Amino acid sequence: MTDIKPQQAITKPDIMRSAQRDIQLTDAGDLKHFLTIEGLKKDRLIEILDTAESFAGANGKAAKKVPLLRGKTVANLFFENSTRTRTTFELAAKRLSADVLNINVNVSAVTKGETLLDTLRNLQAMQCDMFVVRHSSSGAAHFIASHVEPHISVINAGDGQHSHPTQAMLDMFAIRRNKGDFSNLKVVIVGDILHSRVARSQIHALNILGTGNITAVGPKTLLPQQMRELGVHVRHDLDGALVGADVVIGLRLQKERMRSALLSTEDEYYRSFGLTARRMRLAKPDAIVMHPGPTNRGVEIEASVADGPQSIILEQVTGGIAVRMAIMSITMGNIEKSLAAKPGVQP
Amino acid sequence: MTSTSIVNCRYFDENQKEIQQGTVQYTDGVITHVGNADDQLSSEHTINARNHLLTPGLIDCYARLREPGFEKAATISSETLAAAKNGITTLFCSPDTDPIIDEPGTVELIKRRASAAIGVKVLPIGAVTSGLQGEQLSEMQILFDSGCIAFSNGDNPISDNQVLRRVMEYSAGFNLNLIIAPQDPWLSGGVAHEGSVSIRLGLPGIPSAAETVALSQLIELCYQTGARVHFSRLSSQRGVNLVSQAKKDNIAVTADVGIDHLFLTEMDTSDFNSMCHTSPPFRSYADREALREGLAAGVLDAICSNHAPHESDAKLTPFAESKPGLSSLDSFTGLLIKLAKEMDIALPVLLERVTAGPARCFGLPQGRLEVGAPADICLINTEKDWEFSIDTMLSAGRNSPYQGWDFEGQVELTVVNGKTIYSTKQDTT
Repeated sequence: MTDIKPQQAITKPDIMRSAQRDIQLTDAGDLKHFLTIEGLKKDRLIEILDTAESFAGANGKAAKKVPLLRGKTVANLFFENSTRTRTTFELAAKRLSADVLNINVNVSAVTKGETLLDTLRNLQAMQCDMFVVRHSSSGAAHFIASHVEPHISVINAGDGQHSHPTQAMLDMFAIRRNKGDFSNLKVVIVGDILHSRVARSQIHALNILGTGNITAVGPKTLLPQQMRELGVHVRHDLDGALVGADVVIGLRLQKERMRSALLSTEDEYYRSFGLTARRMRLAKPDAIVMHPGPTNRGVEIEASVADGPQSIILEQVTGGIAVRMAIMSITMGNIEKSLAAKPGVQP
Repeated sequence: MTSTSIVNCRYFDENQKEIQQGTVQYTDGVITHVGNADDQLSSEHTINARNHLLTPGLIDCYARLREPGFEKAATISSETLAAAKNGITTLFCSPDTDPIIDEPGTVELIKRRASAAIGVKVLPIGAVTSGLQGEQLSEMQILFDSGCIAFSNGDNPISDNQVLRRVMEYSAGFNLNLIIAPQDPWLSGGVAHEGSVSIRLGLPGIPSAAETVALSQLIELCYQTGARVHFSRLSSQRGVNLVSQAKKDNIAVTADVGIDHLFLTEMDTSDFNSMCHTSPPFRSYADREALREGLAAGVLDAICSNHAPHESDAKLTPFAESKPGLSSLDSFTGLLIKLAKEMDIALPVLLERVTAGPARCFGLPQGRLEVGAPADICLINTEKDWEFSIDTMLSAGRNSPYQGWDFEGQVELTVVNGKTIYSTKQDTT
């Protein structure tokens, strides 16, 4: 019997080979669904940011109504509770002149034993044109996108711990408005990275946009070493990480992390990883503070930081409408373009 | 007396550990000649098997047949048909049916259904604890007498080590075999291998330690109790190392790997493909290589199918919500031959792991081409190219990720106790 060799260097097959990469693009390579930031080209993200800029007024508010989605029906399919995201999607769709259907699936179909696929087919039969989906399971938006008819666009509004690409894009929008160029920035993301779809999407977006230095900070239970492979520095000391930072992003801490032995107490977490005014002095004087909201004050962020002059948390929310308008109009436009290119298929 | 001779075949000689050229004859269900062509041999039937490979019928030591209780997913009849098409003549079925195989009536029912089906030898694995609850010992001795080949808690790990120890002691006293899939129940709550892919996709991970923590405890208990334990469905490099060390320490353990784990890795889940959601999860490339090396080196004694047929709805959900497992019987032999052609394991070694290897682990008389052994055989056309298609699967479970894979080598004849149960053609003269 021979010994089994110790760990060998892994020759990795192409991580990008899977169909996941293609599913959100049309045959021409345009965005038709918006499921994940990962794998998208830089100019696609710039296109979204520029389009959002055209919708946003000088103060970032998308004030005027445009007819880009007139006659279209957008279904907000939320399998998980959300107020902020659903509301901004609804506002964005209305400003694009679409009809909006809000469906809280938690309390309707699923409790009657209807499968996810049944729900989808029913909504398709109601002539919906776009599904905005939030689901507690990673990959749910991919699943839905791979089962809808070709005239339907799927926008991921958060799937499990995988991806929340529209949130990441509105964060990029806010960063670009405040900092201009991405390449010289040092960005620090602090908190529960492991369970955060927001952090994953932000990391992909920042990398694609060419950010020089992205550092993820958190306790080891919430920030495994493999996170490095997403293209971030992994650190477990916030003070050290904050030195020289331009952008500091806090993440929401779910209370259930205490119960599952991932953390000790809120107090100890705040002591080690709370964004306090004292700590913020380690960052650059003109550093901005961001948070996807809603904040747990006194747990991950000090109230005076959340409400202070460096905070752009409310600006993030405002910009969210313009960014979502941009994403919805781009994907819907690309679907119409691709269907028009195929004779015999009615959009 | 009815004899059949299969002439001009390449046959797998387990004793010489090599492929020989010659004639194999069986008479009334028993092998009566193995070796050179012999003019004195007279047979009613002769099969000219030029360019074909003759092996003992394959033995699959872990498959889920779903009957009784889950006939909507699969039945003994449908699944043994898929097995026969893949040259499998002996198949161990898992105890996690409804009712659970923890009383002789269920064993009887399965035996009856199996004998009414195509004719594959179906050997039930008895539940080691009553109701698979991990609390009370089942009537192992009675279940053994009614026909259980071994005992297992299926996919439910026994979390109480005191119960586990008693299970081992009790079974050791009766010289009964245990089949245990090593999985720490606390560490195996996720849905995918904890590694770069699960981190990227945000899927709850199952670390390799879920396997190795359980294995370490189990090996110590084997040492303590002298139980005969077969570790089923290993998935990790360090798991293979632990079994290797246990064998060097002369602890009476054996082990197998599911066939799909010799091909697929975490990368195959990177597009949320629920068809590749299985238990234990497909792990890293390094783990897969270690499993292959462990197989070649004999640390792993057998390859099982780990067959888990499901209704289609079970996989038509987001990854984490889909039921784990692959329908593996239809691709079993295709993958096996692929393994021989693509990797550095000699075909005889590989064949041993699906015939004499598992037979040795569980004390079965079949699995060998020897005079006096049961005439369970399988004839493979190793040159036949074919493409795997979900549409031609015989298993009722269509949950296979191999759609469109090219395979070389197809079973053309399967014989159990001298009776042909599957044949692609009639060139018997």
